[in-house]
This record gives sequence, C-alpha cells and structure tokens, in this order.
Amino acid sequence: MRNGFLITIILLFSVKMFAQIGDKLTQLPPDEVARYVQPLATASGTYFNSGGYFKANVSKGFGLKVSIVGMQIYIPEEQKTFTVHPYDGYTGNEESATFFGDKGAAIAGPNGYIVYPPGLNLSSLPAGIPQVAVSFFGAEAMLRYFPKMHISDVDLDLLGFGIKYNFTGLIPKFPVDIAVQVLINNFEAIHPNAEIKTANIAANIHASKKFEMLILYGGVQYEKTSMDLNYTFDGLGFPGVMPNDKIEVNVDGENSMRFTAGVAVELGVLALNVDYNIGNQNVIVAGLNFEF
Amino acid sequence: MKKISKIIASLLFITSLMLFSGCDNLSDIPLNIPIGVEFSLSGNETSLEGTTSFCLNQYKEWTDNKDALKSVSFISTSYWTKAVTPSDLSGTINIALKGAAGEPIFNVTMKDVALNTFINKPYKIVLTKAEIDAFNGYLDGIKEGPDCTNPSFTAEINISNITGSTSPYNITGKIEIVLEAVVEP
Repeated sequence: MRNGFLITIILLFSVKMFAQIGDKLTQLPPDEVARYVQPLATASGTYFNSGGYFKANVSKGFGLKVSIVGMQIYIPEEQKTFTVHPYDGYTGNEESATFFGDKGAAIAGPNGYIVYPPGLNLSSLPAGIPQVAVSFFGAEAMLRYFPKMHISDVDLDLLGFGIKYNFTGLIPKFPVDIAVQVLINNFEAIHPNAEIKTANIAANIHASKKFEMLILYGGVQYEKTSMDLNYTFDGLGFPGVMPNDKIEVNVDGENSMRFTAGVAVELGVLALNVDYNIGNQNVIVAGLNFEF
Repeated sequence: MKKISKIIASLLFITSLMLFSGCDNLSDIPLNIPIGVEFSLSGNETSLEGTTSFCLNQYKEWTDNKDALKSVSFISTSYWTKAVTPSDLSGTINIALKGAAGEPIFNVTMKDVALNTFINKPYKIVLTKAEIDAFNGYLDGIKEGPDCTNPSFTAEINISNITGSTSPYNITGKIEIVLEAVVEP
C-alpha cells in the first residue's frame, strides 16, 4: 500500500530524499511554491471532506456511531505538472512536476539555474480517517480526532467535527430521507523548518433510501480548502524575496463541488458503505461503521 | 462502555496501519543537480584562456545523493558573464568540457559576442545528440575518490579576437551544468 495523506506530509519533512525535495522547494519564489503544492491542497480537501455520511437518516433517540473511513484519491494527470514562471519577464513555457508529478524543471535564470523539485509521482493516494458521531433528536455531531503525534521532528495535529440535521420529518410523505451537514476539519504539521496548516470546510445536502438491509445514498457538497505553508527562503533571491526571508504561502484548493453516489449494507450494529465522489479529484470512499 | 472503548481503540489501530503502512512502492526520485564552474581571465592580449578542473564530489548535493544514485544523465548547460571590464569588451568565446583523460565531451563557440550581453542573462549551450550521448556515457562510468586528486572534468575557456575600449581585459564568467540524478527514495 502506498502512503496516505498524512504520511506524505511526514515524508515531505523527514525522509532524506523528501527533505531534499523540501530543500529545492524552499529555494523557489513563493508563487512557484504555491503552484507546486496546489494539488496537495486540493487532495487535503478531498481527504478531509470525504466520508461524512452514508445515510441521511439520523436516530431520533440517542445514538453512537464509530467509523473508520478509508479512501483512494485519484490525482488527475493535469494536476501532476504546472507551467513554470520563475520571475517577471520570463517567457518560457516549460512544465515542472507538482507535488504529485515526476520530474522537476531546470530553468536558466538571471543568476544561474533555478532548479525545481521533483514530485512523488503518484497517480492515486490511499488514506484513512477515524471518526465518532453521536446523534440525538434527528441531529448528529461528528468528531474526527487524531492524538497529537511527534514523528521524526514533525508534530501532527488533526481536529475535525461535523454537524448534521435530518429534516425529513419536516416534509410529510417525502419518499427519501434527506439531511444537511457541515464539516470542518483542521490539520497542521509542524517541523522546525516549515509548517503546513490546512483548513477545510464543507456543506452538503444528501439523501438516502433504505431497502431492508440495503441503503442507497447520494448527495451534493460544496467545499473549500485553504493551505498555509510557512518556511524560510534559502534560494539565491528573487525580486522581493531575499535569502532567510520568512515566507508564508497561502493556497486555495481547487475543490469546490462534489457529487456523491453510494451504497451501504446494514448488518445489525455493523454497516459497510462504499461511495464514489466526482469532484476536482475523484475519490472512492469505503467505511466500516459500528452503530449503537 | 468498556466494549466501546475497545472498538474505538481497534479502529484507531487499524487506521494507523492504513496511514503508516510503508512507502516501499514510491518511485525513484529524479533530482536535478546544478554543477557550477566559475573562471576569471585577465590580461592585455587579444586572446585569453583559462582551465578549471573539477569533480562532482566537490558539490554537496552530489555527495549527499551519490550513495543512493541509480543513474545520472545530462539535462542542460548555460553560460553567464558575471563581470567584464571594459564593459564594451567583445570576442569569440570557446568553451570545451573534457573528461579525466582529456576526452572531449562538448565544445561550443560563441562568435564575436559582447560579453556583457550575458550578465544576468544566460547563453543556453545546445549540445548535439552525439555530445549528449558522449556526456551520458562518460557519466555512466564515472568513479571519483573523495579528495578529487584526479579530477573528472576539465573546462577550457578561450576568448579570442578580443576588442575593447581599454585594457587590461578582465572577465569573470560561470558555466552551470544540470545533471539529473535518479536516486532511491
């Protein structure tokens, strides 16, 4: 199994080769760094905004749901490269790898070669996330949490939550269950030389219909992701950027809308679900859920 | 409640396995490594020349990666003028790169150029396919000791037909060669 979202972040900071990717990245002007990491920002949003539901129905009494959500995020080919523009007045049209691409470019600049980092050459990215939800009176509150971890000089912190309301009861004789949900997830990875923080928000409306053990579900979701990357510039210098400058790069993910269709099977307290999501990056999500 | 906490603990464990289950399928990493060679020429004659020898082991990025190296190949090379006096100096620049035994790798001539043209502006040296093949072939067999007692490369720079408003003539320039080192992750 290849690495997941969080492990890619850890690798970016810690493993020797990936540290060298980081070294090359911190030699680029901020706009180029933004272009390099943008698909990663989008993948962050795709990851954190997935797996929020597998049915619209919410227990009218007290309920508890514990889930593990696995997913496979597919990186479109066009998100594996970007057209470089290392300085004002540059007229070339070379392509270089993004975080998920392959080979970095080498551009002959005013003072020497500007060398771009390679990518991880990944076409898909598996990942997983645990979540716990409690429900009462037709509403559900969900928590995603990963205990603060310190791995190879990297501190990782994840906190996410969601709120869902099933308003089927407000529409008499409506043939399907229908609910709205808001998800908020924040993640940060802090290394002595760099920090990555992502903020993700999603709002969806989803519907489901139960046929004995089988549940068919689908929904449409609006989502927004922003990634902040802080590092110390150690390149040769560009207009407006000097060596040792503290740089903050803000990148918005390209994820905005997604459409979800899925199926779930409920077997007593156990529910298994799988859905396919069409968005800026498509993703297959599978869930293992225990409901009490 | 005890049962639930066990389930939660199990789920966290399974998730951790999913997240941290190795990266043995990661591809090799193609790193671009720039190799810079500077030279300074000065004199009153209408032809000046200099020679600079170097090893890849002189470059930290190369030494940092050579133990994980799977292959290395030529990507690009360019010339820059860093400083020139008098500023109107012009001439014909010839740059030749040779291997340890003097075998030619590439040879390029820029005829009758104003050297200040290449201050903050590269002259991209375009190699022929035969030169690229020769370069890559030479890189394939390269073996260097840690102390560079037998340099792997010699760069010869010759500027002829020099004209300028005043002498002596002083020229500082730089050649950079970018190599692609494919390394294990």
